[in-house]
Amino acid sequence: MAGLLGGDPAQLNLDAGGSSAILQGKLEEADHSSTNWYFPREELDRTSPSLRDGIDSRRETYFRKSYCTFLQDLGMRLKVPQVTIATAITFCHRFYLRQSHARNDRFMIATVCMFLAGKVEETPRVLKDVIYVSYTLRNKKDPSANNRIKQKDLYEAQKQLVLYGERLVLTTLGFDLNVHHPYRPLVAAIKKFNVSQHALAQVAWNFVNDGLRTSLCLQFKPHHIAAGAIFLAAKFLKVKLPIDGERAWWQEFDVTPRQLEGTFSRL
Amino acid sequence: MLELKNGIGAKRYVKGISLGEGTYGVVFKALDTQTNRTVAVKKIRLGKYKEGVHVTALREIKLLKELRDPNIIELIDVYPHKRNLHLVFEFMESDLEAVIRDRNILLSPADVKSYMQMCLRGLAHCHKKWVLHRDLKPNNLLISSDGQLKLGDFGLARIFGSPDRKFTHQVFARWYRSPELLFGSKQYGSGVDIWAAGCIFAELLLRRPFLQGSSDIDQLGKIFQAFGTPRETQWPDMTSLPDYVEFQFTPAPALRSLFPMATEDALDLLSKMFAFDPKARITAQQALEHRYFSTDPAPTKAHLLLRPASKAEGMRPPPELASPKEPVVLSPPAKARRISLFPGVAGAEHIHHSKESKDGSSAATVGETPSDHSGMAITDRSYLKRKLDMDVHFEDERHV
Ligand SMILES: Nc1ncnc2c1ncn2[C@@H]1O[C@H](COP(=O)(O)OP(=O)(O)O)[C@@H](O)[C@H]1O
Ligand SMILES: [Mg+2]
Repeated sequence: MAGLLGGDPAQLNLDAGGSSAILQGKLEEADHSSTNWYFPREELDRTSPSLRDGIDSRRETYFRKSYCTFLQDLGMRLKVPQVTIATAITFCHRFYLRQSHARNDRFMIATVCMFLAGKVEETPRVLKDVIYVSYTLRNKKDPSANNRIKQKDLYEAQKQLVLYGERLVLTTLGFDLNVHHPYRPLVAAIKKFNVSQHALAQVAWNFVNDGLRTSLCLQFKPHHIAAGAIFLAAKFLKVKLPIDGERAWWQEFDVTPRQLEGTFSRL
Repeated sequence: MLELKNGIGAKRYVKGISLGEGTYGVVFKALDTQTNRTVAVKKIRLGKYKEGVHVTALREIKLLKELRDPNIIELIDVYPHKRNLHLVFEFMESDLEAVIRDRNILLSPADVKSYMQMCLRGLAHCHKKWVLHRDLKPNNLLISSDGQLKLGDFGLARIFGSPDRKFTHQVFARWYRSPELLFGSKQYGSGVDIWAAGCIFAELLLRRPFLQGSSDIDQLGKIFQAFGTPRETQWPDMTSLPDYVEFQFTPAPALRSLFPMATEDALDLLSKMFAFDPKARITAQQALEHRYFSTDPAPTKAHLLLRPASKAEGMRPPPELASPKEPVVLSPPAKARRISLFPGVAGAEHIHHSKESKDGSSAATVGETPSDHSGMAITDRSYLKRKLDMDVHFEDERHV
């Protein structure tokens, strides 16, 4: 699992952490957040709060996957759009950049992140529904969970946890709530390059969703991930991407194919 | 990397006097000991709301962090303290409502131009970032001690731009609502803010609210009295809007007759901001490039604008537009009125009418019931107004 991301992010020069102007790709959405949320892989591994509590990066990668799967499932059961799920996942990733898995139950934090993402993305789900669905999902193997969560004591306790957790998550995130995703640049790029193949869009979209479950979105900006996903999808489908005059498509993103290939080679 | 920015929270600010009561809590004046700046701290009670941190607070935080512009209020910091969330804003001395209301202030054409330019600049920035303000009114246009006008109160603002997104039409105080909103449109765009800005432009010229409807239908009536009933050619999409009702045809009076003192350029811009068809309405950026802003007189420099002596409560000047006969509704409303959306709120109709009589704010379409003047506290009214707004909002948008 640890080798999920091929290549060496530092050498990829995808503006992982810096603010160099040359990387202002045309498809980048301006992000005025005062906090930098992108870090090279080694820094992520080295400074992880979970590591200090004895959770190694292998185990953290496993935890990361497990809350992502949980959030995807929870989001689908709550019938929120994919963007809301993506925001919840990003909140969760960012939370564990600054907090330890040893002290914060990942399924509770994930539940909080979904509740919060619903409100932030203007697709709110009532707290009661979030708690019911989350609890039954977390206790999938226990058929009595469904009724148990309807008991007042348990429900109230869960509710207090979520409400307390919401404050913790907000503070930990420094109230940075506006999350950009690769979806918009992806769609824009596919339109712009006149790539009409539906299959390509679908495959690229799936790669973006796969990337969401890894620490990729903590390392690279959304438009870079979009570029990588398109590149990989084209390679996968053996489709030639158009070259628009002098400029090859990927130059719009300020990344080279070799860099992209490096990033996604093990996806 | 792991340090929280501005992590010192409560200790950083020395609390001063109360500045006013907002919908979700008190606003205090305070001193930022880190920068020695005077700030306004909006305290939001967390315990009060059963759905956690209220979505209006989250919106305000999310959007204001994205929007940095001289004509948009700056959100300096956010921190939780005890059972409250604190939003720290730059301190604003006054607001445009106080300016318009202050009889000691004479607004020259250059002053009006200056206020409109600042308002449109802030708006152009919002729209560039795909943010709709949705609550423009003089009271939410704040004025700093150096005379800069800044858009404030982003509690109703939204990201727009995805064509499939459906919005609630229950936004804006009624007097600032565009005809497409009044006809129930749910896929509106930046034109709604432009219409409201047009109403503010008119209010600056007239020194009183321009179109003071007492219900949504009456609001449309007032709009058609002023600009004539739109013809199909003027606004082709009108008849397919959800709450469209046919009005008896009224011809448009000359715009000049409504604004006898305005220049030709001002009238031309005004008429473009009041285009019926939102697709034909001028954008904020185009409005800034309109010749009104480049011809004499030049806009007054912000620091030279006169400011009201105090922010104290005062009554609005008596309104009433010189009105020709009321347009008549010809067909019944297309669907049941929205008041039925909140059966649980006893007396909502009564209370929010009393609110309407004050500044045209309302939450629901209530037909043509005349306003009454019950003496409900302003904070209660605005709380209820917001509450109703948000409930409808929630109903409308959770299914998207
Ligand atoms: N930045 C500020 N500087 C000075 N006073 C302010 C500021 N923001 C708000 N206020 C005062 O607090 C009141 C309520 O704030 P507002 O943000 O408009 O709340 P609401 O969302 O309830 O309308 C305002 O009417 C104003 O008197
Ligand atoms: Mg306000």
